[in-house]
Amino acid sequence: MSRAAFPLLAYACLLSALAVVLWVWDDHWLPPTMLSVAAGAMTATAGVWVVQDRRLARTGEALDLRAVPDLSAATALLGFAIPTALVGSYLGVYLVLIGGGLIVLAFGGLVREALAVRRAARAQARPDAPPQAGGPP
Amino acid sequence: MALAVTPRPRALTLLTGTDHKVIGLRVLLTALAFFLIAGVFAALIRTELLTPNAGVLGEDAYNQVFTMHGSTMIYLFVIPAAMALGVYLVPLQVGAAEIAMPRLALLGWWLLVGGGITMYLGFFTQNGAGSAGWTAYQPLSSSANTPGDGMYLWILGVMLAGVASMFLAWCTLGTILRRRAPGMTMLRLPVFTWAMLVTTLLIVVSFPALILAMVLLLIERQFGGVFDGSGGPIAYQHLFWFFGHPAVYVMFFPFFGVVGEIVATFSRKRFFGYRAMVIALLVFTAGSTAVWAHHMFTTGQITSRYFALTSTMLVVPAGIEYFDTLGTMWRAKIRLAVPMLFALGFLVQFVLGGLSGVLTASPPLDYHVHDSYFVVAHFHYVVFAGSMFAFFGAFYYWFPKVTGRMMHERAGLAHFVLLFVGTTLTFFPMHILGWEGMPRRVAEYAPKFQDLNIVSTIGAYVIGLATLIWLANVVMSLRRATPAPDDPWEGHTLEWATSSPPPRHNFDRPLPPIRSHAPVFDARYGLARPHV
Repeated sequence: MSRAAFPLLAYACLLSALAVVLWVWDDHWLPPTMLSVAAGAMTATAGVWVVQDRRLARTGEALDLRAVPDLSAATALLGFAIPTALVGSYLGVYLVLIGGGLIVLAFGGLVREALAVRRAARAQARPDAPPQAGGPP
Repeated sequence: MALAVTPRPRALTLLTGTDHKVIGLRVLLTALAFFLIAGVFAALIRTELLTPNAGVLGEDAYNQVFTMHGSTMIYLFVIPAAMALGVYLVPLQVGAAEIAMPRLALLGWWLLVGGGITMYLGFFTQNGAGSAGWTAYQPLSSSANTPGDGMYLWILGVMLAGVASMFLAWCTLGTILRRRAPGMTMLRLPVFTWAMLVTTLLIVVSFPALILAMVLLLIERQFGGVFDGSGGPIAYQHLFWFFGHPAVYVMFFPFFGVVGEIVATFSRKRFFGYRAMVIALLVFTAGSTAVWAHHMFTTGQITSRYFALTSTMLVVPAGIEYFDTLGTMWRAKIRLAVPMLFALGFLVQFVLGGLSGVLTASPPLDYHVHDSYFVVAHFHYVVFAGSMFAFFGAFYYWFPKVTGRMMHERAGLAHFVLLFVGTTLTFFPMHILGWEGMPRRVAEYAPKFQDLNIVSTIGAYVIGLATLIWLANVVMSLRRATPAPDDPWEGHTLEWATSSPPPRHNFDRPLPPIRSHAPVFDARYGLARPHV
């Protein structure tokens, strides 16, 4: 198991212990439930991490070898569109429509970026590919 | 691996760039802009409190100003500033070329800006901005008691800012767990990176409760029926404080990490008790997730003995971290440069904030000081006198790395002295005011409290003067200061093993061998030496 998951597991175990004590002491259901949900969520996250680590170890795939776009206009557009649409719910429906339209455009841009990233990764995986910038020497 | 870099227009890079350093700087500058606005609000609040009568702002405006001061400081400044330090520094400290999920980090910055603007749009609505305090307790924040679109916009702004901080935290967490350089094991992570790791865990667990609370608050205001009944407002408080108390540690851990780095560097020693610090941080993190209801002792609706016990037990890991930091300075050849002065300021003042926290963790004492100025003094000693000193320490410490220029030492010294004096004058009298019974969140008060309020207001103006000196120092340093070498302080961690400022992919030269949490110190003095 990767040691990277250790802090997550340790945190999950400590939260679980605190939740158990709270269940024993507390007469109300909400506080211990909240703490238990937090412990469960952290346990699940740690579990996903361990499973993913094992898969990566088995396949030999390295997560840090990924193409990353230097600029992402689609992300910026999404970041502008979400608050616009939300604010529109109180300041005017026209803003919701504008924001909604921009969100659709932004998702289109993200799909386009994802395709470009995949193309770049495939090109990079070819044996005759030139060396790329980035990555610790 | 990253795509090849080609020159692009500066504005385009600023708005859409995915370089973690650019994103970190943008988040920091955004947070600092909100800090200055919140500072103006603080000056207005203190001016109003110069006299017992509400003659400057009036009660309605005062409610809006103190609400927006608290909300801005917490949702838009301290938490994002801590995240900004993580986004900028963690990839450098773990030897990564990139942050994990850079587009998510970029989206985080955009949502932070959007959240801040949304919150402030409230000032332009009919009833003004949100005015139910930064906690927006029910039923005070209901549509009947706080009518108008300003409160809706406040809720939406808090949601956006909360989501932004979560996104930035996920990127930082992913970088620590997945992007470490070969040799950078978990027990070789720098102190600041460990502090950021536990901070991001806290955010991952606690911030969804804030989002849920805000969504329910919106539904309550729009349709009603969510927090009705005898237990409704208590349920809101549970949700809010399940976020709210861990948020205090989100505002503490990164700055403790900063102080750890600064103290070790300027003591010219390795950080003392590294493994004990790691264990203490994990225990502290878990403990701080289970103390939220000590904010609710006076409701009589919680199991006080559990939350009093867990809150008091936090003294143990806090003490370990504190003594680790003191142990690092023990018999060291300390250099008293400006970053170290701010780190020492943090250590001195945070003790007061921490000890008054132990008092309020005791239900009988909490009953006495609840909703009084004692609580205001306590959390300002934690967040302002504590974390802000560490923030300024970080600013002076990493400014040469980020900009490639040194800051002026004398102006930094003046900033430190004035800030220390101003902080003490402003916040210490509040302990006495609160103990004597002055309630918080009021524009008018009994005349017997006026003398100490005048002292407090003078202190606030001194803090304002200190901030102006700091701003002038930043501008002067950017324009005319001497160029900074790559490692001006003889730092311990990997960010000092690259150029100032770092190149696009962080490292333009081979990394030193990583055999401990202080690889640059090892490369300079050898692995066997604990100190210089």
